Amino acid sequence: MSIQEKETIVSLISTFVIVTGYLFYIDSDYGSVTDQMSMLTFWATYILLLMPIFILIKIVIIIIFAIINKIITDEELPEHSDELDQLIDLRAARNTLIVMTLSLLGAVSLIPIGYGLEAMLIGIIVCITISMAAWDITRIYFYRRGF
Amino acid sequence: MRSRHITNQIRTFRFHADEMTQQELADKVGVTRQTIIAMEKDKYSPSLELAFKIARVFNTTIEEVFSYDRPEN
Repeated sequence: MSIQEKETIVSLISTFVIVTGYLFYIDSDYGSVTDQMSMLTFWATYILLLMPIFILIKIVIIIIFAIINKIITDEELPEHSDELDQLIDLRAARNTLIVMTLSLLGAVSLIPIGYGLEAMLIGIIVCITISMAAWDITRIYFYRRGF
Repeated sequence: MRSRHITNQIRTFRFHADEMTQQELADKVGVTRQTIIAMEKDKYSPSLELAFKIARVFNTTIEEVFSYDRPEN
């Protein structure tokens, strides 16, 4: 298994771990929600905070992975992405965009079918999570299959 | 697995170049080792620029390293 595949698998697992941990963390603060306005403020704040926290934790996890991998296999992460990496990233970006668009539509459509505003906001977090996962899954697929 | 029509002799040329390693070839042409591995396994058809760079490393022509099998219609 190549280092790119290992890195992507670590990234995929960390995506789910970070989001799950984040949801558990914000659950402890959910008691402050009393009406619909405070519920909107609560979710909007935590959805906005999710992105920088997500990126920061992921960078730390990838750095730790690179250090551990270097110690175990003496192999370093590539310093630059070459034409194969760029082609795979382009395909991953396309798939991420498709998944994000479809899942966002799915999240929004929860309101007209009667699930309410909160379900839609949770749906947006799910949408962000599966879009990030789509990026990693596409990368793993093309690194394994070839391009 | 989808069929690929471009095949190459990179492994053979590396062998004849004093067993040049994949990493050495990757460094010479400016790609990662993973890309060289993918090409040797016919999992990736390189760009024209990269194909020329590889041929130049082995002091040969692009046709000697890469060959194209035209698909039957």
